[in-house]
Amino acid sequence: MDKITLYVPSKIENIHFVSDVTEAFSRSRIKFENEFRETEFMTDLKLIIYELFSNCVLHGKTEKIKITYDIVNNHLEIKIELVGKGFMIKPVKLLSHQKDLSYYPPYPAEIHNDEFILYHDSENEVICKVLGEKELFFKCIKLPEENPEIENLPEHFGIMLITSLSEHFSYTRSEDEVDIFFLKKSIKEFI
Amino acid sequence: MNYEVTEENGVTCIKINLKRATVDVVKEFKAFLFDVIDNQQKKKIILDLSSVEFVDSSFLGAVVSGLKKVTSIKGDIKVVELQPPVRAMFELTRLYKVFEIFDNKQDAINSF
Repeated sequence: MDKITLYVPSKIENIHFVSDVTEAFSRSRIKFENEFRETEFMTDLKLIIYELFSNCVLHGKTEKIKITYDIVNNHLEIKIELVGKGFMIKPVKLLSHQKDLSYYPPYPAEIHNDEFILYHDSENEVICKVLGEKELFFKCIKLPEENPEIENLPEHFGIMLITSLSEHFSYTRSEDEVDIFFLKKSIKEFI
Repeated sequence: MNYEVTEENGVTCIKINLKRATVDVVKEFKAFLFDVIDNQQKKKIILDLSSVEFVDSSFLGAVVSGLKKVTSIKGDIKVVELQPPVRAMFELTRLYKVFEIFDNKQDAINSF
């Protein structure tokens, strides 16, 4: 009953519209009792949706993007589907057993269950675990605090923001070459 | 004009006249900022974000890129008047550790 689906042309100028719809959906379905917490939730949500949608537009090869919103068990769920090239695993830092390679799906068997570092800063790392030929799971890990050096600062924060602001973020590629990104954001601490 | 430039005591202030500083304007903003640094040879730069209600990571990435460029020539970029969602973004990305943030432009100018 709560679910809505949106089909949006894959154009970067539609990003504000998508953000506004995401916010409107959340406000219509979630009863916030504290204005401050509501603003916090909406800011998190906007950051997530800007990153997700812009990356789908920039890296996809599709004319339209399908976005589904739902509320399930005190979580806002967002699913984004598009015909794409597949999610490229491109590590920013290699573990000792890893080769300096990028991977598109179907991911080879030798990297199944392996974990790759996709983002690194002085306090966070984003790890992507390869669950199968066409399935990834992402998580953000806090590192012991260090002082950042300007020359080593990352210039792309998208995957870190998505993973640190949500409880679950995963990727699958369907048999008919649809890339599916799925995330859950907990509501209960904001209401 | 999306970007308004003023000079005071040798400090260049760029006021961002956008409510949403996001991926759709990042290319033009980066070109503008790099022009200020490379061609106009400005080293002391203030970004006035008082009109900005929201920034995404692409825009911040461009600001970081400008910071790397200007610090390589012994300059700096300081930011002023962050609205709460913009401040939250600087905290989430830990960029508050590398950018000096001021509540008003005059304090930022005096800090150079």
